[in-house]
Amino acid sequence: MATKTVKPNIQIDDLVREMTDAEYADYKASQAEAVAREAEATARTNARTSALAKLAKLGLTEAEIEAL
Amino acid sequence: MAVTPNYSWPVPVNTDYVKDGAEAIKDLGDAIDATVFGLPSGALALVKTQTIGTAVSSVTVSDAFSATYDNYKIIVSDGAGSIENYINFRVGSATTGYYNTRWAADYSAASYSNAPTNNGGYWNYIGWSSVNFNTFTMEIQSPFLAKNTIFSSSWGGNTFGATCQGYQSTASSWTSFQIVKNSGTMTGGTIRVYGYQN
Repeated sequence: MATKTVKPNIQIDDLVREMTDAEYADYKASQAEAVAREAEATARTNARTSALAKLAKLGLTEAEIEAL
Repeated sequence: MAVTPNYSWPVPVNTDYVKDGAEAIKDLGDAIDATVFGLPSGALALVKTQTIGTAVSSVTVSDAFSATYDNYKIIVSDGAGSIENYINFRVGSATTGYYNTRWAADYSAASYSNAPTNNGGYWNYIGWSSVNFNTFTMEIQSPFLAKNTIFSSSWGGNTFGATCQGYQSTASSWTSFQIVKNSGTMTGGTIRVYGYQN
């Protein structure tokens, strides 16, 4: 038996109602977009941290790394 | 007939006839009305207040922008979220053309990151909704004018704070906006829209 997807509620001024199918699709797409961008940012931060660690192993001081 | 010391409103003196009292009151009222009408209003005027409902993932605020003001301030405060997550933002009916940065810095470590939005469907990460509060302040320029809409916002979350800047590439006029929690819902709290005097 098929089950109905429970969609989140949205508010338009003082009216609160369940999302339409189109609104729900747009909402899911925006969530995916934001998650992807956050993942990209995390990957960049991790890459920077890794690079800094490698520079430190090469003998650069913190002041020298910050000056780069 | 005498006048008041500050605004020179006409007032009767002790020797004036009582029969002229009604006319004296009318003249005084007219003078006060003219003075008050001409006083400058505050530089920042409250345009609209919207209470956030119960367990809603988004809130659309209609009739927020108009020809009265070019630039606005939006403050979201109080209430709570079901989980910790970002708040995203959309103007009017525009579903594409959103560009913004989000520079975030941790409270506990010297780390930061930029999560950019490049022609996205929202301005992403412009606010924060925690289990204890919903929050952001935003300055938004020209939403009602048929020009690009530009914004900057900032917020302090539970573990990090962030600042965001960006613009909407569609040069159209918008009267409404929508805040959307990226995941989970918001309950309670207030959205206040202020207009900067032109």
